[in-house]
Amino acid sequence: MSFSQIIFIIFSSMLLENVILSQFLGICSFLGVSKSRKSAVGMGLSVVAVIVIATTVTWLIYNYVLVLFDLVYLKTIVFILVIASLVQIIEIIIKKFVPTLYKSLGIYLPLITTNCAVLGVAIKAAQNGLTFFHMLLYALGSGLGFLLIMFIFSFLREELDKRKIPKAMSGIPIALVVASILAIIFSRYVGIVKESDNNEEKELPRTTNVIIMHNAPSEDYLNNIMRRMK
Amino acid sequence: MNKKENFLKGFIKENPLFVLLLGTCPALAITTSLENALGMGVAFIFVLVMSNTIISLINSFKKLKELIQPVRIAVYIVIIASLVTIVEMLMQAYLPDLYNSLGVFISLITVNCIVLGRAEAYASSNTVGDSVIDGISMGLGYTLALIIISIVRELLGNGTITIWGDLQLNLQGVFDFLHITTISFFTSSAGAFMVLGIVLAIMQAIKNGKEEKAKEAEKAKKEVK
Amino acid sequence: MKNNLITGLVLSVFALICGLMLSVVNMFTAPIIEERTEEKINNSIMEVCEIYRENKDTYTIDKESITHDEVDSVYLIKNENGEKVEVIYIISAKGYASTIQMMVSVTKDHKIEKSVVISSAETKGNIKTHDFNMEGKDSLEDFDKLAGSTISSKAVRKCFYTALDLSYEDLK
Repeated sequence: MSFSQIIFIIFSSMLLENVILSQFLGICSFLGVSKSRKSAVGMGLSVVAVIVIATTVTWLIYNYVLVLFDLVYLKTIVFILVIASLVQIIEIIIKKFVPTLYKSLGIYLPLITTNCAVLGVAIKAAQNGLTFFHMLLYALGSGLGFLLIMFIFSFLREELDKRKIPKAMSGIPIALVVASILAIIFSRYVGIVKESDNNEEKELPRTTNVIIMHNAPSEDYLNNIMRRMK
Repeated sequence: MNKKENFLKGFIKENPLFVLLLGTCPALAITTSLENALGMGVAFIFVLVMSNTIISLINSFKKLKELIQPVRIAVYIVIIASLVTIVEMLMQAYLPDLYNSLGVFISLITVNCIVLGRAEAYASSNTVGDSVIDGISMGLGYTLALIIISIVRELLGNGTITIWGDLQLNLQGVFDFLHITTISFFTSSAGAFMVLGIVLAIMQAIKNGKEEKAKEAEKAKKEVK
Repeated sequence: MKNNLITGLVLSVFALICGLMLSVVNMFTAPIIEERTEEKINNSIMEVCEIYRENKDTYTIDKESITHDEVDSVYLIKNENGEKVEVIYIISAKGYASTIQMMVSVTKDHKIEKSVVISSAETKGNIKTHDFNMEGKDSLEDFDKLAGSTISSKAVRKCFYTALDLSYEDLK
């Protein structure tokens, strides 16, 4: 995988197919926890960590257990159990080794189990048949996209709180309208997908590596000539 | 709370989407056509009613209730996840087109806060009958909310209303007659946020109006006294 | 410790029951799902390939074992003498919101005969009914993209390109 491809995967999963704004995953926590900047960043960081770890583990289970034993239909139930127990384990580890981090992130961890971004990314990564490295980049990009939007949006909401807003629009409605404008901005990132994608298409036919000589002399003709030369 | 109140609460008073603000993800993602909204609603009602029934059944046995107490959330999630998978498989078998267009959001009913919320807050401490009614009420309320949003989005964005399969109401002619065009913004992701925001604002405005009226009525009563 | 063990056991019993229930349902639905997909593919082949539709008795269709990384499956249509007349590809490409799966048929003179979108959940525009202006063409010059959905169109374009490209190899 070339460097440009790596950059492309990360950027497209982070900006172009943003988890929140274009795939609508994790909206509950997006609206619920983005009231202050501190909690938004805390939630975002824990989501990045959980998405990357959970997607890796579920990808491995999906490809090396479920597919092998023909149990693909159990994926939802297995994935959600894996995510729930992973969140528990991460919580215990952080609590034991990095208590300061636990103090600031701890309260968001249990919420992540029911954050659909985690399960959604895990299912998409497994079902789309990505390679291991691609899956890793995709999960990282998706998590970073979540963090980015949470960060931007918490700024905007803090500003909104200071302004005078019509009573009916205050609170969640105005937040959704702001999210809509944010989504318009982010949908413009489609432009970074090069228009020159068509460059991949070379002149047709491309695959014929054996040169077919249309006017090649036939064997009989060659034999005839040989005979005459004799 | 009698049975009728219990049934009606999900539509307006405790509407899961408009009032409790739960289950926003599918409400934004799959409301591009009425057909999708109906399909999602049916799947959702099935999961909610079944999970409420099973969980209230489990909790009606005292011994079992004590046994699962420490891991009850995990048990609920397992039950909900398997119900969702059943819906997924049935839909894939009998309604493959709908299954394709709903995509990952069928699986994501598992982590939909409404289902788990109802299980924990209502079904675990109420009788089976009440829980079933609660499930139907909440499910229908959520479906109603999805239908409202999807009609707005599909009509303004595409000029059509797809009821089911080929059964489609094409209102392009009306748009032409009025010399207005459809705006594809409404079917895009940004439009989803905008429509939900405005619908919520309208709900809030109605609620505020009612509250003010009630306040004025109270004031008038006091003055009379 | 003992309590933990019991709760763990309870949870695994629940998981086991649910798993068993799912496998029972799966036993019922899996054959139906398979049948449906097969039926859909057969119908699409009929739609896409006129020669085969009209000469069902004399012509044969083989699901080819030749596989390319780019395509999901290849079907070769042969006439009564065993000559290859047409090739049909099922190709997937990533679109805007979903993976688009298309069936494209290519005739012996490397021209696209017809194409059908088998599955797509694209939200923008209706690629299932859009005419990409590719029927009877042997290059992508006249490709008519669907206005407003650049990425979906790009995916469809890629499908056509792959089909044309590989047909030079498979119809030899």
